[in-house]
Amino acid sequence: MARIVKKNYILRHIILIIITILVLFPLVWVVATSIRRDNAAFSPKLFSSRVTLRNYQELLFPQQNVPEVIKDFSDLSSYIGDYSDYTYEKALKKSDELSSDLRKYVTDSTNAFIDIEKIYTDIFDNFNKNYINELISDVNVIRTKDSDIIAKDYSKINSFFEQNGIKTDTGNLEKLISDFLSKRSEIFSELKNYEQSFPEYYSETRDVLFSFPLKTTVWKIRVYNKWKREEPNADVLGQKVLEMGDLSKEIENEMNSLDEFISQGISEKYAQFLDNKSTVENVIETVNNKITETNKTKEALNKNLSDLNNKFSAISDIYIPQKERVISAYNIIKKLSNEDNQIFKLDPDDENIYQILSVLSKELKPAYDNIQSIDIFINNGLADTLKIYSETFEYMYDNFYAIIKNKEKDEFASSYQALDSVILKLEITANDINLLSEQYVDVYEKIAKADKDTESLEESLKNAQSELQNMVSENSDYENIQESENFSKLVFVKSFTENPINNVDEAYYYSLFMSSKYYSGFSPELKRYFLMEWYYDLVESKAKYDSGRQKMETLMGNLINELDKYEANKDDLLKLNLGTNVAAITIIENMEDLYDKNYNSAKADLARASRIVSDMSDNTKYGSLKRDLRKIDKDLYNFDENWTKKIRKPFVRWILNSLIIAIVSSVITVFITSIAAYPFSRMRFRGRKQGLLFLMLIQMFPAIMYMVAMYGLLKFIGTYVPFIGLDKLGGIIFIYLGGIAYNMWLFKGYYDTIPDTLEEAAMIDGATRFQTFWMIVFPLSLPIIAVVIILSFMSNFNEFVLARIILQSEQNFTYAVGLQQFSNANGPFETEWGLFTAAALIGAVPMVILFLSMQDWIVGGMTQGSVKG
Amino acid sequence: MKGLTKFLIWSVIGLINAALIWAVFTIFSLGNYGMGTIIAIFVIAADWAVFSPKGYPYRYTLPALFFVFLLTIYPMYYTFKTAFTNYGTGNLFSREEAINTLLNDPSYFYEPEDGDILNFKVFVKYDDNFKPTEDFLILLKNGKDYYLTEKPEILKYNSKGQLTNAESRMYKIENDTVTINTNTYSVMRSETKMSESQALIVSIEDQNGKRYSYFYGIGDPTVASNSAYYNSVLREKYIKALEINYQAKKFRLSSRNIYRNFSETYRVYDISVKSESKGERKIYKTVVVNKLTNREVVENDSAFYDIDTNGNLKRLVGYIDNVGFSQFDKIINDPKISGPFLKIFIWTFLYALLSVIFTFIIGLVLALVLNDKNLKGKIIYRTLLIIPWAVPAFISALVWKNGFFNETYGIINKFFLGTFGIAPIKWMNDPFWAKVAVLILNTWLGFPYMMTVTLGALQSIPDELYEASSIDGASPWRQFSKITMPLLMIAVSPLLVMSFAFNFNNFTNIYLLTGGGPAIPGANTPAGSTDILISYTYKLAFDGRGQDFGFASAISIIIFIIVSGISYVNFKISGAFEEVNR
Repeated sequence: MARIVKKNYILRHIILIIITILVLFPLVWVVATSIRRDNAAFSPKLFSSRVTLRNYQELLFPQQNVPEVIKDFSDLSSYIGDYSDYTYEKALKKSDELSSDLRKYVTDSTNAFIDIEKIYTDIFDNFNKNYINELISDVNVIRTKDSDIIAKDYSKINSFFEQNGIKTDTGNLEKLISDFLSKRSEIFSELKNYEQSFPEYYSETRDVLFSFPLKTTVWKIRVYNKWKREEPNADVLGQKVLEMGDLSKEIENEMNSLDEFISQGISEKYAQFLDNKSTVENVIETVNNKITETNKTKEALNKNLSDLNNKFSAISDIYIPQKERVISAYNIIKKLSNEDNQIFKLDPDDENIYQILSVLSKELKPAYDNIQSIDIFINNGLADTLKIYSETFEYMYDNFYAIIKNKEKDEFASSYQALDSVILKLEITANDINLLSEQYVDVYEKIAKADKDTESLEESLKNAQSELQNMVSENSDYENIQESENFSKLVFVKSFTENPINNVDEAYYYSLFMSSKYYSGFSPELKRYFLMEWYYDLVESKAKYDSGRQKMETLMGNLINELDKYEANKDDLLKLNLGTNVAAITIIENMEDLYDKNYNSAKADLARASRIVSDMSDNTKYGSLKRDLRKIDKDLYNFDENWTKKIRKPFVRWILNSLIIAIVSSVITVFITSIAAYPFSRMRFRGRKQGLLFLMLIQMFPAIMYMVAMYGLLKFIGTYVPFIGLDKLGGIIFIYLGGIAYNMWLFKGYYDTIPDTLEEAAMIDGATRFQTFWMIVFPLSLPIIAVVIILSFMSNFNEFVLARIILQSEQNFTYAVGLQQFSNANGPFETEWGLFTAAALIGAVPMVILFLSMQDWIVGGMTQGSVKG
Repeated sequence: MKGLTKFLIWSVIGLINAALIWAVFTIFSLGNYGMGTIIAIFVIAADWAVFSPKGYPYRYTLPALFFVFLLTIYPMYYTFKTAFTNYGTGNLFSREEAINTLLNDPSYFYEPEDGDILNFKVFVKYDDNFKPTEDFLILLKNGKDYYLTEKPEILKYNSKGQLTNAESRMYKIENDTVTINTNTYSVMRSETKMSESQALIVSIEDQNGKRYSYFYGIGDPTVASNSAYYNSVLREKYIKALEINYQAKKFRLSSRNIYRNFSETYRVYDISVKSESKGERKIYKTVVVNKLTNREVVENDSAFYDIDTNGNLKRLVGYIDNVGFSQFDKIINDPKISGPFLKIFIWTFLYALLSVIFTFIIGLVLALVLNDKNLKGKIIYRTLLIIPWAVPAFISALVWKNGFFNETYGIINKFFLGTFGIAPIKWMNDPFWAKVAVLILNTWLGFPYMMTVTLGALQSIPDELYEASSIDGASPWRQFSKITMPLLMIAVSPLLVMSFAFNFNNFTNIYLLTGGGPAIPGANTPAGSTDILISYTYKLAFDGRGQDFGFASAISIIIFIIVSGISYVNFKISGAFEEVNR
């Protein structure tokens, strides 16, 4: 007792909390992903704050959206699919329903657009009234930070120059630059007056004005000349812009001369070092080139080798299988070696063989010599085979006549025949095999050489590289030397960042310029200038939204037109296809066309607008702006869901199927097993001791292999008892009734704990054995019944292998099978994470709740019998 | 009341008996002797139990035994039997069915070059709503002659319920009338003449006034809208396998002309009888003969082969046959199979062992931490930590597979490794990492179970032992190793072994997560690096091309022996069944 120290508990709690978070993280992720609006699979963010419950609604209470309504119209008017048995009256009624649905969607969307428009206007108003000053000051804060960093770099380099006696004078340049920047500001404010009247000229001029150096030549032709004709006042402005162009050129020249001056100084001081460095760099480059070349050669050689390998394996397939045959035949024929080998006239067949043998005996030995040391051929036996063959055929060639003379003799006939057939088979390859082997050896050696070359090249590369490294690290000023090459640009950027920003355009171009890596020594992180681009992004999103909205309004307008046409004639149109489908209803085809051709481009625009808006709402810090942007995002999301084609699954049906199957099978199982377990506990009979064990062991048989038998069984039963067949719920329930052994064990264990005095008393009073079971023991076993029902229910609900094979049509899937089918690679759930996680949760949560509330019972049941005492 | 119940019970027993006996006979007549025998054994045993006083205890077990027989013993028998056959793709039917295919399958027909060709039109009787019915006639034309045939009466189906054969006769129309089977049909032509010699036939009426109207003709645009019904109902159910007999000729839909007309078609193969002399007796054997070449079809290796023009054997169709122990031999002797098999075997053991070890260690640690009376919030922690076990396994597997281990979009690769600067791991394509993934999933799923049972077992260890030992000066580690572990192991080891057996056969996790994992190169069976024996079996038997049920059955038997062996030893040692001796 004295060992308990309070502070240990905090440690324990911390550890436990960390472990719990790690363990539950996947589930938390599932919940968070199921309510996300964006497509989580493609999003760079782990969690998102844009939430929606739409995924759940789609799964549990699916409603038709616009493309589905249109398709229904088409099916209805042609009387196909679900509508093939509709009468005229029913069709009329349904058509009215569909019409009103479509109109409602259109009205809702139109209203949504009006709302969004209003919000946008509000935002822009607010911006100009409230935000703009705050924004500008925030932007300048960022700018000042940048300026500090640049100033530090500047002073560092300057001191380096001083150390080395390089006297730079940047005063003039800096003055020029700040002149330039302030002039630019003035011109821009003048230019802004033309924003509304000449928007195109305005934007092009603005782009030119904010670039550095100014690209005035093209601008002059495209914009200036035209503009001054239309608006004489613009002439003055244009002149100023041209002047700016000249000024920027002047600045560039200054910068170049500064750079030259510096590089002269540097090279005087560091000439030697720079020389060495460039020599080593050259070496590295040459070696690298050589390596690439060698690799290319090796690639080609390897390809060659693999081609040859293929040819050789074809040959091996012919040669190697015959080896044993040849060996044994040769052994027999060798016994002829004492016969004389006199030449005589041969039959044409034998002559043929003789010719082939002459080739073979000449070609095989050199081929063997070539490949005898190559591993592949040793391993697959070709080398050995060739050796044997060359020996055999040489012998045959030398002693051919003797062999032919004796070829009919009993002892030799069969061997000769065997060899004959082998030789005929080898005829095709006889000429090639030596050639092939030479080629092979050639390529093989070339590859080996190339490998060696590569090795030595890489060796020298490594050496050169480490030499370079050493040089660089020994020279502590190396960094500064590198940076001095950019000094003029550094000066420019320094002045640039010292110049205050006064409006959103300047801010935007500031961010463009600084992110363009004009000065390579400063690279800002991605999100740094988000604030500066903000306004421009908002304008872009509005533009996209406008374009998308316009397209949608045209689309919706046209749809309504067609719908009106349809309604005017619907009484007659619906009679056309009554009976058989003869004619496609053009009006409805038009509606489908309108949707197919026009929706996607509108959707693309609106999706872009929504993306910009959502990113902004995550990153902005202005509270009411965030709210507004969120609202736009939500409206656009709902719109998208209403109009985009979806893949629908009969999800609710699946869950219902699973529930029915699990409940029915577990209830039936309880009855069967509770009755069956009774005698094991209460009576004596043969097989009592081993029976239960035997049953449990039998059920260890892997259920998967039941499948083939089960398939046939269900098919057979299905022809006679319709509801227990393949692809039927009854069939699955039937199969699940097989899992009885474990449950029997649980029941028996429980019965053992019920004293049998009650039953004895009842039997004395005249009850039959079965009645004592049914009325006394069974009711008393309620706890274990509950356990068995729950365990059966859970295991049957989660069972998926048997269900997958037996249930084939989508309507009959259980929840487990459906979820698995549709989350396969290429299934729709693979990247529709929102839907998938929502579906997973809908199934998981009830089971988890059920489990947790029953956990004591479940655990008690499972460990019963193993924990004694 | 009692009499009524008794009567009910006896009548139910009688009904069930009748149903089962009828089932046995039906099954025997279908040729499935195995199932029939098993049910028959059951019926006999059940009846003995019902009628003999000594069989009283067994009566309780009857419903359960019925299902055991049907759903466990029969499949076991079936699997045992199949393990000794070559049942699989290429050998899917019985010998009779194989012969049947040769005789009836459309790929074994030939159309003589100069055979007759008949164009045809379909005439259908409409019902009251002007919808077509399945009552139809076919009008055929050859040059100037017209023929009529009724809907085929003789229809044959195969075991899958598909139409294999339909037969009918056709009769020549003379003077616009024809008599078929006592029914006289007359041909109605249109008023206007389409060409000089003949007017269009619009309908055909029988002698009772039933009218068949022109419904469909190939390539006729005026009836193109009826093609759906023709194709999906009439052709599918009757015409596609229809053989029309006329005099000595037989006609079928011509495959050479894309089924646009009927042409003379004959079967290539036919059965005939051959007599062989075996010693003194003459036996008659049915053989299949190729009618074009007049040669007998060669039967070899559980398949039928025909000899083609080059003298080579061409495999036609295979049938199921006993091959003895060759499936088991394959495992040991065939290098392309035994290599992967061994790998899978070893991995199965490793997988089960490592799963048990990891889950047990984590569960034990957590249980030790949580097993303190004074720890606040113990129940909350326990409930939270049990959740991975509560979530259905397949959901977890799918979530981990899609969301976490997905190589491109998965969270681990996208977010976690990125922040530590490690390159993305190929969870699904690298054999080693796939195994790691599977083990991670299994540990996550399994540790709550271990934690719970260990907690329960720990709680049953009396505290006095600890107090006594600490008085004697034992350190916490000694207490753990000498008191906790031994007592724990007694309680928990049967569960560990059961968990081992469970994981040995844990198909769901592996299959859902990796599908067996990246394939083992060079194997000619679908073996993967994370396959365990049972998922390998499943893939062999059910996945895609080349199903080999025989081989799969052989492996199942091996699995069964191993797992039941382990469990048997486990049960014996743990004495879990000892109380049976009451």
